[in-house]
Amino acid sequence: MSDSVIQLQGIQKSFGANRVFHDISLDVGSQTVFGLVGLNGAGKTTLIRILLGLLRPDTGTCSVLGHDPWQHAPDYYRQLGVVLEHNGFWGNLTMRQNLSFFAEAKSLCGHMVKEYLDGHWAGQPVLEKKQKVKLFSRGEKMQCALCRAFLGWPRVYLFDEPAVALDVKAYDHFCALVRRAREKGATVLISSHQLDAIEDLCDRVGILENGTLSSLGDAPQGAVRWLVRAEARQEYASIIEEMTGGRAEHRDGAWRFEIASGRKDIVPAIISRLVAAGCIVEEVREEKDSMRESIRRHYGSQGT
Amino acid sequence: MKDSFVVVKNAWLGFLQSDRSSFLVYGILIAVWSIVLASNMSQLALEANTLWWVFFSVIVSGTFSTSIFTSERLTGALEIVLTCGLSRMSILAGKIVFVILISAGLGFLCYGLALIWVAIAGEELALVVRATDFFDVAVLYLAACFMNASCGAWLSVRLSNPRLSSFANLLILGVIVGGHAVLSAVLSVSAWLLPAVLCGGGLVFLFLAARDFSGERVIQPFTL
Repeated sequence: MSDSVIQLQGIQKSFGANRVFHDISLDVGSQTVFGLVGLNGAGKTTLIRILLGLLRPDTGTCSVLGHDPWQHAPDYYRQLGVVLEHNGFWGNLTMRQNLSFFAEAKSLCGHMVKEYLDGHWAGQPVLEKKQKVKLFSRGEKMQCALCRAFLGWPRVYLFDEPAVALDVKAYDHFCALVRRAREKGATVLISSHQLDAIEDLCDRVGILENGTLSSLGDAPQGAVRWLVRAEARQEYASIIEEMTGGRAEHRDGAWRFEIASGRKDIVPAIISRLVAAGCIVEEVREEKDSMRESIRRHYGSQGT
Repeated sequence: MKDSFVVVKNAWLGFLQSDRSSFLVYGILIAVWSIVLASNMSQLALEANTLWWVFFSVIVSGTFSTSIFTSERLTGALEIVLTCGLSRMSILAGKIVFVILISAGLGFLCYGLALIWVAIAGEELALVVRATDFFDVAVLYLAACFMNASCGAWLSVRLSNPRLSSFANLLILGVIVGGHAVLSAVLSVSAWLLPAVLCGGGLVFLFLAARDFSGERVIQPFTL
């Protein structure tokens, strides 16, 4: 991360008596994909709307690419790629006609659009369709929305549930486009309940809850979990517990235990003692949480 | 200006590619209304057709305002349009210009068809055209269209149920035309008063719409 592209400081926002954000601060630099997760109603869409200048924060400062989104500057919007809950296409028009409007709105000339479509969307059936967009399936409309978002390779992307209804091929294409945008130095903010997408793409993840935004990586990692696939015998548990000073649990054909971070060196010693005790060790690895598990663990620790 | 033109062009393209059933409805509307106008034209007076013209304008402009302002906002499409790189005022102006242009086009089509009916009925066409005073009719009709389009834009943002905007638009126009009728009965007023009031109303609603288009209300009036 080099410079700051998206910067929120002390954002508060209420709708009547309902306070959505108490104090949101965020700093995302260029060449970063930031994932935004949170339970339903946590305010993910509201946060994106603030970044888009569709809503104005009650207090705090919001800056994207040095612009205050609430100023509604066309130059600012021309540097954004946006996917929102609604695709925003005119149903009576074809995909190409819709794209043509958005290209004109972004002051993109015809050859830039052609180059983009030929370079990154060639062979995509959705682009070849001559039908009106209103006849498209939900997944096809989402592909069109993604095609529009990456049009002109903007510097910032704000995506609200971008992977909804995409088939496997379209999803892979989406991931490739996000990675390409990141390579070009763009900043991408993805809000999604589809944790696989967040895990696949994001460099950083923030959890929005109770009106605040915390980073998933901020959780203190006091211990690292390890997995040793071996037979379930009490004497093995005793060895592990003796050496780690913690509890060993046998589940799904493997021993699971935690060792303090920075004490990774005792793992070979544990394995040596297990083998010496006649244990056949089939697999040894550090057990990292998947994004889904991390988030579940996070909400579990919050008692939600 | 260029940005507004992009909006008008896009809306026009959307209109041209509407379903056939939409064109059928417009066709029936124009045919029926032109017959009504033709029957009043025989009275050879602008006043006789004033009501028909302004209420035709509210029907046509109201329909297009609903589709271009209200539907886009209700479906959420407006959020995308507002963030596509065009200024909000260009978007508002482009939409209002489109509603006025399409209403004017359909209105004049209706007028032309009415003249055809008059000719078929054997009336002296030149006399009818001179007596109905095309210029006066055009000014009145365009003023009504302008007010309806601006009013529709503002109501689409303001009403808690924007689907009622056509009805509210009709009500506002009814109050203005009714007030003018009462005033005309009591005082001798200029023929330009009604178009002037409609234009003035249009400017007020345009100002209000522009103010609301710059705020949060444009995307979610219900929760604020």
